Amino acid sequence: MAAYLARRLVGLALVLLVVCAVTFAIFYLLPSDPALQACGKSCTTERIDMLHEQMGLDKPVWQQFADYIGGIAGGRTIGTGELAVRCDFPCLGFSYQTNRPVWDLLLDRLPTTVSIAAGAAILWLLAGLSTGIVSALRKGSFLDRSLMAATLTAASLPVFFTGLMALYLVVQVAEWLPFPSYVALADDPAGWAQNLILPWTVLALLYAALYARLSRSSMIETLAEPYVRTARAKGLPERTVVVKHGLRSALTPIVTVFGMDVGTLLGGAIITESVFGLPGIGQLTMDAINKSDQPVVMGVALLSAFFITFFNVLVDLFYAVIDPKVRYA
Amino acid sequence: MSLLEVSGLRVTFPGDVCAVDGLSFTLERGKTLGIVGESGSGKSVTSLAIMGLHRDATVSGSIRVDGIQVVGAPQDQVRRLRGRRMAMIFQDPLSSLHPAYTVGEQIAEAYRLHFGASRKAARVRAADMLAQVGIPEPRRRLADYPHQFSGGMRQRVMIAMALACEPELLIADEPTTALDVTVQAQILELIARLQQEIGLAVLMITHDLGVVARIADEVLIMYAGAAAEQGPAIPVFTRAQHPYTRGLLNCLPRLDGDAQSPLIPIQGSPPSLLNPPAGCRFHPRCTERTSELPCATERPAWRIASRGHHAACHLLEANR
Amino acid sequence: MTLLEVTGLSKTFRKGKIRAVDGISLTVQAGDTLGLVGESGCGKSTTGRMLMRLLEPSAGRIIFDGKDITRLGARQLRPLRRDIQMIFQDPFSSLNPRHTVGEIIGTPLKILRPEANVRKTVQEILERVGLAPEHAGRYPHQFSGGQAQRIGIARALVVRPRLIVADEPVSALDVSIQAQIINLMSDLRRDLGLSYIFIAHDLAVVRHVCQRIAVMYLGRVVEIGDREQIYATPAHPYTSALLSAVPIPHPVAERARKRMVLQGDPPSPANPPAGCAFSPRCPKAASRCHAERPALTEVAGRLVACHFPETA
Repeated sequence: MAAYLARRLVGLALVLLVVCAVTFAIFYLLPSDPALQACGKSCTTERIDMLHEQMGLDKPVWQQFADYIGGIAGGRTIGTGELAVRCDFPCLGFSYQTNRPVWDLLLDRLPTTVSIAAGAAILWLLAGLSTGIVSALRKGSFLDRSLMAATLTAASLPVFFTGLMALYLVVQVAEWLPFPSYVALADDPAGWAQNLILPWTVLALLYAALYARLSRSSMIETLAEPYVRTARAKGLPERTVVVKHGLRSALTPIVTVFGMDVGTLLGGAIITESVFGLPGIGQLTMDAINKSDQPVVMGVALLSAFFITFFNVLVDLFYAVIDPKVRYA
Repeated sequence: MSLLEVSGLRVTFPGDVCAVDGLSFTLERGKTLGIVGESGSGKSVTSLAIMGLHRDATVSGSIRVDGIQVVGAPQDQVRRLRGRRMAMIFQDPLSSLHPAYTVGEQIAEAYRLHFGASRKAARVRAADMLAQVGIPEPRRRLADYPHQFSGGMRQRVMIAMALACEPELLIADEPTTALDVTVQAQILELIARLQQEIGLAVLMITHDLGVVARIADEVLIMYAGAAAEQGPAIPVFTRAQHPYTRGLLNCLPRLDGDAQSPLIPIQGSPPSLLNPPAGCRFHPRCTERTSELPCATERPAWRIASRGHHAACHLLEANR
Repeated sequence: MTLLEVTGLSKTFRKGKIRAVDGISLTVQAGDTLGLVGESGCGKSTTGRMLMRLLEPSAGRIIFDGKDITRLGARQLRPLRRDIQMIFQDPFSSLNPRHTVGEIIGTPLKILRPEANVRKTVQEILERVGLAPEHAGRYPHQFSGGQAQRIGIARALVVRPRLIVADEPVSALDVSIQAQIINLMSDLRRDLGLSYIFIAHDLAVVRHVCQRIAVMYLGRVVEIGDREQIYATPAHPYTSALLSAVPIPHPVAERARKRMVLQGDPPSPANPPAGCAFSPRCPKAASRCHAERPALTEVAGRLVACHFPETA
């Protein structure tokens, strides 16, 4: 098991290295000159040359890449002489816009995004799974067909639509909730939850619908397995049969998708954050793309890649826990 | 009172597929009844009905296990019989065992449930059961998963699991079909031994007349959802009354038969249950039917051939 | 005339870690029926697939009609496909569900016997295997298992092969249908002068179809001889045990039999026992058996690989 974990973590590091290389290559190959971006409006040729040197753009590309990786791993000093700036671990460079370290920008925005993703994930997992299981157990019934029709509807509504509708109805018409803004969990837990309840619900609605359909089909498949029949033949109560013998196997495909989805969302729920005006990673990304703030875009890309691969490793570890064949392989 | 009494059993699936149509038989304590039939004969459907494991089908008639009615009984009542008074093993032991739980857990589970035993006591019981079914190093193997066992050993695990709560009835649905012959011999020997030791009644569902000849006291031959012939093993095999039974015995290649002469096959195929033939369901394939008898129009009644030996054939009535 | 000669045929998987077939030698005379029997994992199906060149042999030689076919390329194999055909276990999964029976049977005909009149030949072969000519327009799912196997046989026979490799052709069929197919295969062999390699685990079926029997255990032939020798006086303890394990459908005879129940399971080819592969389960095994692998030697008219063969 320890060897398995070690193998997976080495794999994670390698994947991230490849992602770094690919994003780096994309930005290196882009026609726009980063120095020009950083230089601003009143730019002179000397200043550009100086910035090139400052930013290390005069060095060979592999050297630039090595510096970048080295910065992430242990921090680095950018520039030379008096203009040298220390960029601490993990160094993702400085934003052209604000000159702040990219890492700090990410850290500022991360709590909002994590709050949105975690709350929504818990909501949709609970709602999706229970709907799916109920549907699977009553396969073909009126209830099953109504639930599946409802999930199909929910799955086809885009977040910007449900989000704006929710804002209009709940905030503007009924005035049950204030317009969402981010309050730190540590400062005011109740306020945090109250402000996030709308984005959570809106985001979870879409995912819950998809998860309900997924868990229904997965559950139906598992309940038809001979070992579930064996469990019934032993005289186990239906609850035990469904939860202990059925759900355990039915969870596998759900967890796979869940890992991917949460990983992706942690890289920024762009639409949700925009609709509700929440300052998360998604908004940061939008800003950075609009203003060609390359270090920030690269930082966000790396962060997303990290979350996705990290959750993939978590999913693999989960497999090892639920499937003894993986553990002993 | 017999341990198992089935009478007028009818199992219908949605779409008007009548898989079992009016089946009656009994099984005494400690005895073995072999139910023989081809695919679609209704033998497995019958076994699942006895266990109360049908979910989409409509079951009617009567099934009594030690006097307790299973048909139409509350789910909870049937559930308390399952695993405790009657247990079942299946054709494919690998897919019938949960891949993610240890065999120890799977054996102990039912024992804890039915006897309210502690985890520790159930573990001891599980190890005892593994030893009883001939698995070496039972205590160590409790922690192993099904995929770590061979096919024959898995079927032993299934048997250990089925017998953990000391049931009186074991239903074995093609328990050796997926196994190699030499392993089949081991499993049949094991079932016979356990039966002697604990006085178990066995309902052996199989397509293999050889297996039935080896272990059954009584034989029930099923064809297209109904009983064709039933009786003690020796008269059924040696003085078969139903043309279908005779046909089966004749068409079987056997180790002690004449290898040179061609086999005598039964022509045609078993009928579809969606649209079974009128009259005797075997009549389209029957070589002995005559126009004087109502084979094509009337379902034959159950006729006594000799003490305890019955067959459903018009010929029997005519020859009386 | 020797139709097929196999020498030292082997197949290893996973870079030689698993020896599925381990140096087997067989000959099939024209008109012969050779039964390959054994339990799961003994290598009988792998052997059949190598003979068809569906699997690449790892070592050994296959000579068909005097020609070495062991290393023929895809193009050179074409004429061979006309001579050797295969019948499979599951008639449904081996017939393309989207093709009509006429297409299923007609396609190999068009490729391998372009001179034939497709329509007429297909109808003739359908009648020959006990189906009606109008069945050519139907799809496989419209047939019962027995009929589907007849289609499989027709597909194999339509190119007029000389050798048929039949891999468990009746084991998926109902008991009452098995006899129909066994009789059909016997009739076809007699009428068309075919040779069969009949791969099966059911010894009673093999006894009815085959004149020569090869018993396999863990990738090797342990006994090979004529039907009467093998069934009446088996010389290898494994052959005896196999025969003893097959129940006879007669309660009096069956219960009176002296039975020899083997302990343990067939070993895995990934982890073969030392010496004679059968020695861990053999009731007669002596220390020599655990150390030294017995070679196939002639005992009472057949070949046996055993240090202590039964010589009745």
